[in-house]
Amino acid sequence: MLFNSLGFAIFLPIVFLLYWFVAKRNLKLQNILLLVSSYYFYACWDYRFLFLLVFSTLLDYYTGLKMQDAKSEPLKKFWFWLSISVNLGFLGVFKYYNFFAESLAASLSTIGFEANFWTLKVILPVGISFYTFHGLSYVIDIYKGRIKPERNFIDYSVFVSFFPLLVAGPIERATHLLPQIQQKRVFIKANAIDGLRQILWGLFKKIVIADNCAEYANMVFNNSGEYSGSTHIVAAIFFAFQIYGDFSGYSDIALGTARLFGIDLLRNFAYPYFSRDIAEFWRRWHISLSTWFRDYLYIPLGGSKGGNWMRVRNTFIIFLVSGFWHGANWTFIAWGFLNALFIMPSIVFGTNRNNLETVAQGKTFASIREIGNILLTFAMSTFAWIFFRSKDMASAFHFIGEIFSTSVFSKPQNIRNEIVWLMVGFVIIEWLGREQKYALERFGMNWPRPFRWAFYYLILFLVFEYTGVDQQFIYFQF
Amino acid sequence: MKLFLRKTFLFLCIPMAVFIIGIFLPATPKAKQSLLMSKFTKDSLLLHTKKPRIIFIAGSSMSLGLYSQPFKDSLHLNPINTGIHGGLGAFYMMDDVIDYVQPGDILVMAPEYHQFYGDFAYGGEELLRAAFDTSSPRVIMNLRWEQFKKMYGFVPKYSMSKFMPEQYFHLTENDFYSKDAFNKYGDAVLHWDKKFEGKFEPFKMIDGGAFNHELITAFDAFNKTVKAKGATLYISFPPFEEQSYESCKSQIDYVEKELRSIPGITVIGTAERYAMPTDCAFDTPYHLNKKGVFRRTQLLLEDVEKQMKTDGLMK
Repeated sequence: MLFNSLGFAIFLPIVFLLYWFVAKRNLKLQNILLLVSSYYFYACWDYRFLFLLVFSTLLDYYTGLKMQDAKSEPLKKFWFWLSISVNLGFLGVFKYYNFFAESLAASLSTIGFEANFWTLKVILPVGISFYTFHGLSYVIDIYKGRIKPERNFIDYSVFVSFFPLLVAGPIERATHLLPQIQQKRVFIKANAIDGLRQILWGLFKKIVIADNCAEYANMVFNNSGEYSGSTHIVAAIFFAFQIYGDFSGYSDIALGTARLFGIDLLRNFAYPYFSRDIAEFWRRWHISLSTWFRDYLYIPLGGSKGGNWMRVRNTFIIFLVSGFWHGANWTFIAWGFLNALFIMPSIVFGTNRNNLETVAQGKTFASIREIGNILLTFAMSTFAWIFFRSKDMASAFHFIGEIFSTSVFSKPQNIRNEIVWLMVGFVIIEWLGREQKYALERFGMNWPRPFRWAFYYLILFLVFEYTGVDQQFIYFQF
Repeated sequence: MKLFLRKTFLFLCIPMAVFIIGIFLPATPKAKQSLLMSKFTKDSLLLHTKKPRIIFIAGSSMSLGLYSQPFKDSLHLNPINTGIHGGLGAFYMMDDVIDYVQPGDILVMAPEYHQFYGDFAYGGEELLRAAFDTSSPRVIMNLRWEQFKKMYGFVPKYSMSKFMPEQYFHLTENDFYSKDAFNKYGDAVLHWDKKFEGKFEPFKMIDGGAFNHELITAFDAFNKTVKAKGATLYISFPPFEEQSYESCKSQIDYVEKELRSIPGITVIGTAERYAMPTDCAFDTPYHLNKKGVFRRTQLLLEDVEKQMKTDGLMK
């Protein structure tokens, strides 16, 4: 069920009330309730793939224990590689088999061989990329001796399947989430209210910003030849807002929902479009995935040790794998490659650790230089998004070609002014809240309650006004 | 915890009150101008038009795609064009008409192709507006669960619209999409002499999701019910601009195949026959200008006449 659906609006209060009133101070009961609700939540998407989720959970739980109990290093390695290969095997089959088969057939046909590989007609199980990576991080941490395996199957299952993060992250770590599952949760009113506020902001980002930007972006991306160059630029910007609103909105709803149950999830977005360089952008965008790749791929590959060549090589590998993680299409790989290219100068010249603090920290306005850097970084990331959004490489290049046509100087077509104003308002609120965990966290907190509630009602009003322009969460397809 | 629940409940009280009050407030002046309000007129036609009758059923492809007078002149049937808006959904169209069907009626249904994909056939915001703006208990009581599920998402927006100033002031007339756009048979005619000023966009595909086999089941049931009432149902095809037809051909072929597979149902004409040249289209691939309306009417008249002769229904 979607977060922005009536089904979820009914599901959440029921689980919440059962959790705090029926399960009350019984930790075991609360965890069982979370597990059952999470499986129900997942089954609402597609009950057929519940088996896969349960199997993946069982596999990692069992291999984790076996690694701990292994009497020899080879045996420990065996269980480790069993888990890795089965998990990645499922991911590979469901997500990448057709891509490799079709790409290989296309390559062979260019040299005169006609190959007809059998392709799978399978649906991609929702959330597979996310819960697989949960399990992988758990298994790798046990293998590296960072954590001990969880012996309580219910607790471990909740870690893998906790419904707020099950279908689109954030990708949690056992070191962060498991202790919270193992400990008693205490209801704290301030946290619950904060959670509701974050859910409201997430819904605004998704329904008001993302879904409305999607309409315009889809119109142009799907009919590229019919619009002017300037319209293409606007569409690319709208897509940048769409994917941010969609994904960070989902993350806000996930984090806010988790807080209602006394659980804190990892932050996934930290105002990436206010970044002053690409390195900073990647410290602020889909944080849980980029840190996962850093810890489980970049550092084992050697990280930044071994000179510039090693850094460059490892950076390219990370971004190409990250692109590939998003989907089985050359466009995602091109997106990853572009981002690697953009970040390369800062890697080579060692400036990738600049700009660690929030832009214009403690100030209302940024400097002209900062604004220039923000706009340049935004432009670069938006350019890369063109590949991410396009259905294939030819469409991406065609889209870019349209931008660099003479019609780039004409007035953009079909823009709805109200959407532009909403985006401006959104950027202002995000800017004012950029030092908070989410923009609405402290917004209006020093206002009298009637004004604060009026502001929340305005956001709620906008959410309901724009409900109906339904667009799927983008990251559900990963 | 209790304080939290109390505060949350209090916070939600106001929007809930707005939704509940709003949904039961009468239709706004702007809503009263909407073409959905033509439902009153069309229901009246269904109730009062004398036999023998021919009833045309579809969405706006029927209202903005047909001229009924030739059916009266050639077939000596009193025509009723029930077409209003495709967003009411094919299930509603069938459920709404069936109570008015009389022995001897000829029903011609030409549902838009979008009805067959995803959940389009269950209606959406237009169905909600039709139900509550027309204050029609009949509409509400006849709704299926799937239709409620499609509608409830629009309840807050609909309720809130009752409090919006633009629903009451500075109303502009959009003549060819208003309740006054119809002639005495229910055909929308005010757009005939108008030129569409915007950009015509052909469909690239019929989006919405998987094929809805429940609609095929519903057509089967509808056909049986119509026959039980002593009436006759013919299934035809909507007018569809030719570029859109070419782009969506495989999906349309599947619709046609599924319709023809219904036992005992009479399908007249073919989908390809109703693919209209682009210069016959008005503002959407389903809507026709005057030239297109006359062309489609002629095609449908030929198909209906031929089938009526086969069925021995020509007098």
